[in-house]
Amino acid sequence: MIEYALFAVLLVLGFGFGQLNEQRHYKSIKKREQEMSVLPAVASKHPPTDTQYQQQMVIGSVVVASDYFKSFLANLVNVFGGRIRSYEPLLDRGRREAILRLKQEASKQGASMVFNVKYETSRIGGGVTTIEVMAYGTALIPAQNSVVHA
Amino acid sequence: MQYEDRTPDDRVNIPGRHPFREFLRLSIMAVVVVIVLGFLLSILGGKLGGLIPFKSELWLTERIHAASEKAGQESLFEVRSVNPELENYLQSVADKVSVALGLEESMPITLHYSDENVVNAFATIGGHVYFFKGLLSLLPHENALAMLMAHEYSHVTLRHPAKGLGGGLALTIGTSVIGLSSENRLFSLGTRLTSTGFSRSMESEADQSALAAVFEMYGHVDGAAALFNLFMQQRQGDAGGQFEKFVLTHPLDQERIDQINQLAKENGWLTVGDLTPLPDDYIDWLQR
Repeated sequence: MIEYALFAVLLVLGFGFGQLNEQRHYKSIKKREQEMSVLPAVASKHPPTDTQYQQQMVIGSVVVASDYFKSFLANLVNVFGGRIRSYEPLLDRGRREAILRLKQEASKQGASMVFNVKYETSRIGGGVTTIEVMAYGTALIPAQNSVVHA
Repeated sequence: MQYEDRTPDDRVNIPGRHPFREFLRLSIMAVVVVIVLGFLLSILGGKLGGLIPFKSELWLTERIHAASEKAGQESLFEVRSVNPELENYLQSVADKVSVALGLEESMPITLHYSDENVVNAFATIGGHVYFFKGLLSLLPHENALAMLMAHEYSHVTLRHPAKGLGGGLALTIGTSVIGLSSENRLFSLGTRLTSTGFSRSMESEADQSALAAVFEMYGHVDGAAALFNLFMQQRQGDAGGQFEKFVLTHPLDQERIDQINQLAKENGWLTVGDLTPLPDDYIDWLQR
């Protein structure tokens, strides 16, 4: 009986802390998205040709872990099939956070925009679902702002 | 060309539905599926288990015993004499029970006594039956002891250990083949409920067979229900496991007593008769 009680406690804790973390993360994401909207990151492969740019590869990477409740729900969906809704916000947070970090990196380089942005997702570890979302692209740094690296 | 970054629309990639609704729906579905599937697998595995010849059980227990000895581990099937006088008495009652049950020579039963203070007795594969000091010391008369022994011996004659093993194996293999993780607590609860139902029907069968044997031995069934009254008192006195007591076992004891009375009525068995006392030295033997 203890194992079922422990299971119930883990589910409640997972649900509570998972929801809290998610809400806090989204709040932070939305605030930073507004701040960073001046620096566009686009999937286009054709940068503007009217200005001379220094090109620099930039990466934004984040590792997000699922909680007990989300993993349990996903496990159930795995049996019956269908959308794993519990993981969808997790991946959405991962992608948006990765882009924000990519923009942060680009901003530090003095870039005005990032082109040819792509995502990679990989699973880390074998136990609790933990994913890494990485966004990478080419930062375009106007020639006068370019940072010279040794 | 103008490039701009608009903030994403939250209604696209984030599901609006509350996860708790989905959790409830899927949990109920999972438990129902496991109970239905578990029931079918237990029945099938139990039937297959019952087809295993008893001599294969004997062969298996001998192999397990030999392997344990070789590895220097304690063997469950080793016959140890820890209390010869008590064991002789238990064997004498067991012999009478065997005759009353019509036990065949091809099905030898080995009686084991354990001086552990545990309120339990059980039968396992290969006709090995175990009685614990804790339970034996609570018995009020020989009739209750005979009922207990006849019940455990009936498990062997009815091939319950093999059927239980077959049912359990089918359940484990079946659930792992279709990918239901045993780590998933909902599934384990479902399989547990199923196997409890399965073992309940075995207990009921063993009670019926044991009661007929007790009537054969004493000419009445008085004292047989004392065993289950004893279990009921023990469980009520047990502080832990409230939920299990209520859901899994508590109603069972009363059901078993009712079943005994019903059987006695149907068969015209006397429910009142002279109770055979335990030997005078019984308590002394137990305390050795």
